[in-house]
Amino acid sequence: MRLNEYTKKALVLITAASMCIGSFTACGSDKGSSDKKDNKSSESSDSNKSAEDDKSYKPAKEIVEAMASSVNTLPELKYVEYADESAQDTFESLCDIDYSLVKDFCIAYSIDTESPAEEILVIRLSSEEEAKENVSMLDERIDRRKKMFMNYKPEFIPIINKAKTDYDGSYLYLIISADSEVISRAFDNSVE
Amino acid sequence: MKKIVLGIALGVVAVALMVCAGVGIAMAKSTMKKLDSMQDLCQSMENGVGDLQDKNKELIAYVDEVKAEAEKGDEAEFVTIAGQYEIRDTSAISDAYKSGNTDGLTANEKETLKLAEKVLNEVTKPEMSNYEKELAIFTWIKKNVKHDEGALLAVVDPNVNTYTPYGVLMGKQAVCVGYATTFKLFMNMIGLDCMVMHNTDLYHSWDLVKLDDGEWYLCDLYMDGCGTTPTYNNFNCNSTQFLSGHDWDQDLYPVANGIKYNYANMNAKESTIEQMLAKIKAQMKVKKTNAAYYRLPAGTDAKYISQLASGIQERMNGRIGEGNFETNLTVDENGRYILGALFNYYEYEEPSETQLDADLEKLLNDTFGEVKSDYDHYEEDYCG
Repeated sequence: MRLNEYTKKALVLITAASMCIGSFTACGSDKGSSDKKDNKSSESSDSNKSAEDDKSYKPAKEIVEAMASSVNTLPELKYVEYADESAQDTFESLCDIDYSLVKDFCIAYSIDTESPAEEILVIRLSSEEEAKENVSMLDERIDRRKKMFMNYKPEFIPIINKAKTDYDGSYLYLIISADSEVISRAFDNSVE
Repeated sequence: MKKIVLGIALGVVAVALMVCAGVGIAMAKSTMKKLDSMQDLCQSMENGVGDLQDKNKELIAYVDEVKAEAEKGDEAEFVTIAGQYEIRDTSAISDAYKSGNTDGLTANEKETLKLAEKVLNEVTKPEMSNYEKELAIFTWIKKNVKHDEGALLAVVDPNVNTYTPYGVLMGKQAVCVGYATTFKLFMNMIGLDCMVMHNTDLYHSWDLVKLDDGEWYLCDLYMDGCGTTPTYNNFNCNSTQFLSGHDWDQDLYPVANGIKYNYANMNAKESTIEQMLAKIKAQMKVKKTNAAYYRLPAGTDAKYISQLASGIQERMNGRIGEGNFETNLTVDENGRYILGALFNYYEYEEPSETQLDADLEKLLNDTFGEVKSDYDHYEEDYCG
């Protein structure tokens, strides 16, 4: 079919208009990618800000050490902290708190098989609200430890019964010891 | 002429029509017959389909039953204890032992089989009865495998395997799952049915083994005796004996009611009540882990026996501390009571005395008498 002149002109105009619209779309994409670059730079500044925030908190290991040294009744202890290679695996074996929420943690636990129950665990999350929401997970840990000892070494149940959990700000803790009360006061002093 | 031809033509047509009619009728009849047979065929197909549907229902019901049994089996056996010790199926290893074909085994399973075979060759002989083999294997495990005490620490070493037969036979340490699955492997290798049981809160496991009398018996290697000293107080027990120290979902497992190979029944000594009490006193003086079984006179009242056992337990708790003595009761094939008395002396500690100034000690002794442990007091007053 042969197009008349009018039709040909119309087609040319339509094609030209389409190309113009396409070029505007490309500009929009460029603008989008530059937005992403902006986002990355803002993310970078956020992580810098979060690293600075972290520095203002006392390391969990320091707090645990202060708690452990507040009494002389604890058996030989081993420490695992957030920076350790096996930290995540260890943490996930202890409790069901989502590890992605954890900013810092340290556990000091008995390695004396004659006195295996004692432990001190301190965790720092992002906020007081998160700490409050997750402290019940530490109560669940105490329940599990109690069941374990009831089945195998019931003579340690009195120690488990003195276990304590609580939170202060974004920190939460678990203490299993005959001297849990004294050790918890050491925590309070340490995070003031 | 024309009329004749016409007549012939008409005749031919008429004949043709008759023939056609006849053929048509025949065809119709044949078609009817075919329709009838097709109908019959459809009916029989329908009947067949009905049968198939019935068979299908039976098959579905059977599959559901098998599936339910399998799920029950999984729920009964292949669970995770204490949130970390998975009970694994070892039937591939025991099947390979019995068939002599290890082609389907993994490298780890082959190694496990080698280790287990070595033990079997060491402690059992072909001429032994299954009971004798079972006892020999139980004894070997008890004497050679110690408790993994590290399992109770807050952080368990992930590189230590004490819960599979491979880990147990290599490292000679076990948690309850390790003892139970290793014992089960050995039982299956000598041709005995065996299940790993667990308690209701999924924190402890032990074994249920079927012996040649067709009856089930309970064995708990972890809890038996003390450390690596077997007393067999947790060997070939019945459900009544175990229920005093274990709990489990009784719908998941067969009842353990066996008498013939019940260890207490096989080893009980004839005894009057007075003779038994004197012998228990003598057991107490041994001052090391030991167990004994006493077959009491026929007709001894059930309530009396129960009160007797409780009374002995209370006095022992006071004398040598809780957890160091236990009793269990069972009944033999003639209805006579058997009382088992177990001493775990390793846990007893002499009470320490405060070091006092000499004058103060004299004052206290003059007022209250000298310090004596309950054990010493009992020995003087009751043991002679």
